[in-house]
Amino acid sequence: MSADQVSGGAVDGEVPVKIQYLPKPGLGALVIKNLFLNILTLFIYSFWAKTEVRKHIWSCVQVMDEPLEYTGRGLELFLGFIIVVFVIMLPLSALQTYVALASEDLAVSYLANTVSALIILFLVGVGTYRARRYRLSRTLWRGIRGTLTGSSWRYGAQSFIMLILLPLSLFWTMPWMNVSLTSRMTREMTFGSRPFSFSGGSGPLYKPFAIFWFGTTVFALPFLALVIYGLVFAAGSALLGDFGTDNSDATNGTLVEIIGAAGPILTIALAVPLFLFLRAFYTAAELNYLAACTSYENLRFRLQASAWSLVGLMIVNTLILLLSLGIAAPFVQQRLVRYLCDRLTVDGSLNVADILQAQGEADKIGEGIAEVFDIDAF
Amino acid sequence: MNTRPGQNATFPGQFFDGKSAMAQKVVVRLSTNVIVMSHADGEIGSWTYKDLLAPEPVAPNKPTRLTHATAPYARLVVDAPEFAIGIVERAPQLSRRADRKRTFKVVAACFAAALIVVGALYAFLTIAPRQAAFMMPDEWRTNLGNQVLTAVAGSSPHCTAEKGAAAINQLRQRLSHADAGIQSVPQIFVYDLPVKNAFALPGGHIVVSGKLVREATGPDALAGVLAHEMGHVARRDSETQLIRYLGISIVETLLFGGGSYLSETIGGTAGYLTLLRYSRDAERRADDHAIALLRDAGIDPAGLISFFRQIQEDKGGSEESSATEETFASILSTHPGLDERIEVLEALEPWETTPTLTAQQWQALITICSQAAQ
Ligand SMILES: [Zn+2]
Repeated sequence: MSADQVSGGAVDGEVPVKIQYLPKPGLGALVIKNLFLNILTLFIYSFWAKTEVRKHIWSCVQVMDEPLEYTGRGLELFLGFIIVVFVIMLPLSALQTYVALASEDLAVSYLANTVSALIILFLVGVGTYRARRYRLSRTLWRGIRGTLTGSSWRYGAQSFIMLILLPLSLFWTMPWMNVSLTSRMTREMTFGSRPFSFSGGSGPLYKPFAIFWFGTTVFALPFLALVIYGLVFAAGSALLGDFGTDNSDATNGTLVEIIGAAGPILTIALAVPLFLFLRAFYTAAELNYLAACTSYENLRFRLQASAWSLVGLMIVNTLILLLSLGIAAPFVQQRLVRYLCDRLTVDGSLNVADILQAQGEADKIGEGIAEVFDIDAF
Repeated sequence: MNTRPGQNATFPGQFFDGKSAMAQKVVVRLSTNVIVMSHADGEIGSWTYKDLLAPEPVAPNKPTRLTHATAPYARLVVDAPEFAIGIVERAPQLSRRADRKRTFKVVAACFAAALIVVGALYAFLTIAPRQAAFMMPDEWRTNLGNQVLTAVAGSSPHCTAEKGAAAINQLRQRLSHADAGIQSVPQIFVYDLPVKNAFALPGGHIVVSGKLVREATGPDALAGVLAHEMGHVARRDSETQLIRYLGISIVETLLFGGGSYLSETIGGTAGYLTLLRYSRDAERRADDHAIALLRDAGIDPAGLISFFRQIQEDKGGSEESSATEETFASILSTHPGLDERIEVLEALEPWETTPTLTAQQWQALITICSQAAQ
């Protein structure tokens, strides 16, 4: 190849976009190295370890044959953590301690605990938003970074109110909450100089949600009732056994014991998989819908998540975490990212020359709040 | 195979200028102090070797990706093993080795930070709690004491039979008079707890279980136990211990977020009593305090010795006791080194003693819970 093949050096005009996950070797070695260094440093190194894992996973995501690049630094995550500990957690702890010591009234203590729980609930939303903003600003593709331009406090307030409504509505506000929050975040998101857009309400999600909700309620609750029934009778038979009042009732006792033992097993065998499947069914519908509502320039996104594949993903991921005692968490992250990349299709074409570098300063420190509350896996 | 590129060798590459997402095909030349990038229209830029940066360490087996301190968003990608070798020779900071060195520095700093954290935590959890216990307002101590009392004895009957109370009052006055440094005369509460135990409450009061009173070998033994608890009061051992626990739970919350395991474990009688387990050193000092009080009050230390022997026996014969009792027996027995503590008491020069209580008073005292039981 020589330079004269291309006039002016510029390539690609209006081009289709392909997203792939191409795994690279080295994640296992990285996990072991990180474990060793974490133990050596009482887990202070974990911020740097997390950064290394992100660098690896990001670099496996290829967009139009060019990998993503994670440019975050361990020190930024570390400082974010320290600041949240000293600015938020320590004052909250101090307040709770002070109230516990200084007030004679237990009610005041409970009030203080409730208030700090509410503050934390609000901060979870703020933290989620800021973590996303930090990650976008540290994600480069072809040297261009992403941004999140809105206010994390406003997002936190919205998420706070919606989270409070969630249990009050018996979870019926969930599709609305997820769509509204995703919509807000997506519309405030840019890659380079160009914004993402989001169009669509939560209406279409209510059919799958109703199936999920009624399915869970109608099928899972009876199993739950059976367990409670079983436990109560098991407790009853244990009492009988202790006082030894009636030995001739042995058959009855055995039956009761069988129900007592079978209840939990039945639940595990039937209700839990059923619930997991129904939840995966809804989650798949939601993910696919959220992707379909999203667009960037002329690009539309099509995600083909399915209930069965999500259940499989979840089961294997849970096993990985359990069997490795959480050490192999990076593989779980990798599998999640890979799942999304494999099932995501991008329709339309992109004029990359239109995308200019994002304006404004990037965050100086990392995700703090999200880090403290361990908000998500990445 | 991989060969070292000579001076002015050129390689095809891709350049992203960091201003737009457009890719530019370029030819890269390794010059003396800089790499030069050019395309058909001519040179588009040059980067000094010393300010080159690599998002990931450069190696011959993968495409080389470079950026430059002066243009942190610009990227140059060259997929040629010879280029990787040549660039690492000219800019050693891009190598795996240099990357490992940087990691080592981070790890060393983290390790130092870990040592500092451990040191600070040690100070925070050992020295600071006692300081805080003596700086705490009395109101807070009283509140804490009430909370502990509610948790430990809340549902148990409070033993207040009149004559028994009078007898125990006489005991406490006698011991308090002997206590030169005493700040306030402690109240002594007898509760009919299912355990044989006594403990100092934050705020300076003392709880004794009815079982301990009933099973004590005599008034001297009870006086010895009270004197020992007054030792804990004087040094504010229970306040110190609770503050230490608070400190631990704060550290725990900070490190692991909410949902503390400890605070779920601790709670109720067993939890608080486990909390009020003191160190060997604290026990020794409380014993010293007890000896001084007994001597000044003219009470025979043989009573305390017999109490310690009783605990030893309880511990030995704990097989038949219930699980709860066993827990408490073991708590008492970790009042550490009973043999050693008995030896200290037995080695004392005897002093002149006067009877602690009359036989009638003692009789009233051991039935102090009978009214509550009715
Ligand atoms: Zn003691």
